[in-house]
Order: sequence, then C-alpha cells, then structure tokens
Amino acid sequence: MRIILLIVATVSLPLVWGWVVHWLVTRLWPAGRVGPVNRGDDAYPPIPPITYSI
Amino acid sequence: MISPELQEFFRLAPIGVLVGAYGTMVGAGGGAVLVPILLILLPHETSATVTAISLAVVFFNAYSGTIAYVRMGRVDYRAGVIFVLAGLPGAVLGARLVHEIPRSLFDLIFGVLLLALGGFLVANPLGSGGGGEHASSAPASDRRILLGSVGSAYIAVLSSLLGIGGGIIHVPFLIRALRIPPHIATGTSHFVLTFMALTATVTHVVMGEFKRGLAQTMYLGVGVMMGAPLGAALSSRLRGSLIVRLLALALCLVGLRLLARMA
Repeated sequence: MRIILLIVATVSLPLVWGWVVHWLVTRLWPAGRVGPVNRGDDAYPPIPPITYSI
Repeated sequence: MISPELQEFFRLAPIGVLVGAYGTMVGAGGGAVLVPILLILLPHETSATVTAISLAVVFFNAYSGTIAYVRMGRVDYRAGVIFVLAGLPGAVLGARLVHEIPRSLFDLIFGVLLLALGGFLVANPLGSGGGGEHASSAPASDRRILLGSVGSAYIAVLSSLLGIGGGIIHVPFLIRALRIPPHIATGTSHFVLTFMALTATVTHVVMGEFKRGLAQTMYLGVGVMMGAPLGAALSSRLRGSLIVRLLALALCLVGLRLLARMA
C-alpha cells in the first residue's frame, strides 16, 4: 500500500505542481510584458557566430 | 615548505577551473564529472560529504556562469522562473524518495536509461527540424512552457534521486522537447541550476553534512568561479550540436557510475 501511494505521489505531484506554477506565473507575467530574455525584448538574441563544430 | 592547506588548494583549484569551464559551457553544474573525481581524490570521505561538496561547488559554478550568461543576454527569465518554482518541491520529493527505493534496482534502471539517452543524444544531438543555428528566435509558446514546467518538476525529482544538479538532463529537455535554441537553453538551465543547487546546499548544511569538506568546497569554489566565465565565453563559439554531444558524454558518465556502483 505504501509503495502504491509513493508511486502515485511521484507520478501525480510533479504533474499537478508543474501545472499550478505555470498557470500562476503566466497570469502574473504575460509573455512579452517584460520580455523573455532581456528587458524590452520579445525575441531571443541571434545565434552567435560559430567557431568550433563537429 | 608549502603548507598542507596550500597543497590542497593547488590540487583542487585547477580541477575547479576545468569543471567550471566544462559545466558552464554545456549548461550543467559540473557535478556529473566532479563526483567521480572527488571519490578518487577524497577516498576517506563519505558519499554524503562528497555529494554535499559537489552540490555546493555546482552552486558556485551556476552562480558565476549565470552572471556571465545574463551579461550575454542568454537567459529566458520568464521560463527560468517557472522552471525554478516547478522544480524546488520536486527536489524535496526526490530527497524523500531516495530512502524508499532499493539502491541496486535504482542504479540498474537509471544507469541503463542514462547510457541510452547519452548515446542517443551523441548520435542525434538536435533532432529533426530545429535547434542550433536554425532555431527560431521566437520564445517558446506557453504550451511548450507548460510542458517545461511539468518536465522540470519531474527532472528535479530524478536529479535529487541521482544526487546531481540536473543540468545534464534539463538542457537536452529544453532543446529537444521545448525547441529552445541551445545557446538560450544552456543559459536558462544555469539560471535554474543556481537556485536548485542553493536549495540543495542549504539542505545539506542544515543536515550537518558540511562538518567535513568545507575547505575542499572553498578551494574548488575558487576554481569554478574562475572557470565558469571561460566556459560561457567558449559556449558562444560552439555549434549547438557540439554542446549537446559534450553534455551527452556527462550523461553517459553518470550512467556508467551508477552501473559501476552495482558491481
């Protein structure tokens, strides 16, 4: 019984908590209001020039 | 005559520089490579002390690296805040679960999983249709951020079970599942790691696991704080696929360490 409860908790708690956090923060911090990266920006900066690759 | 403390500093600080540079370069804390090194260099310390030292060093690395990434404008603060808040309870849950799972079963399952994941990422680092220099500059949609929030909670549980900061799992997740460009994923992961590692370190302090190892932590910490900005600068010069492959090596290392522990 204890093992079953632990499995249920491990599977369900992160799912519920992750959804709650997402709902709360996206209501308080709408996309584009402050910007995803720097203040006033609403897009990621361009990819820097590549020197090393394989 | 060099004092034992100075000898220890000259032994550990350069290791810290390398760990800091590598960890920040790939968006991880460096714990995956640091723990095996510490197990060799500090054979008389318990695994709990080694883990505590590693997580504290990860915090110093993540903090220093995050400052560098913030200056480069490579942190998605909105997504990062969501991932931190989602992950913190997961880390506590994982720490609670670690006493419930038989160690041998855990090491076998996750050792194989991590090796398989690492091998997969080496072969196919960015997946089809995105990532690297072809990634979109638009931030991840709220639907993908929801996936990231839930995923970060699960990753925090797993990382806490493994005794690592979680960056080596988080970065591939951000790149592959959320389609965040690798250079933003590494910076954002480092931002998240700062708070996760701080929480873990405070937990270890409260549990009294820094009665031994404080000096070694400081020596390594000096090294990683010098290495982290170097790693951030190098990361800007690397193709996204190379970042993921370097990170996949750390995943394989953790997997091998888990399987070796069974032997």
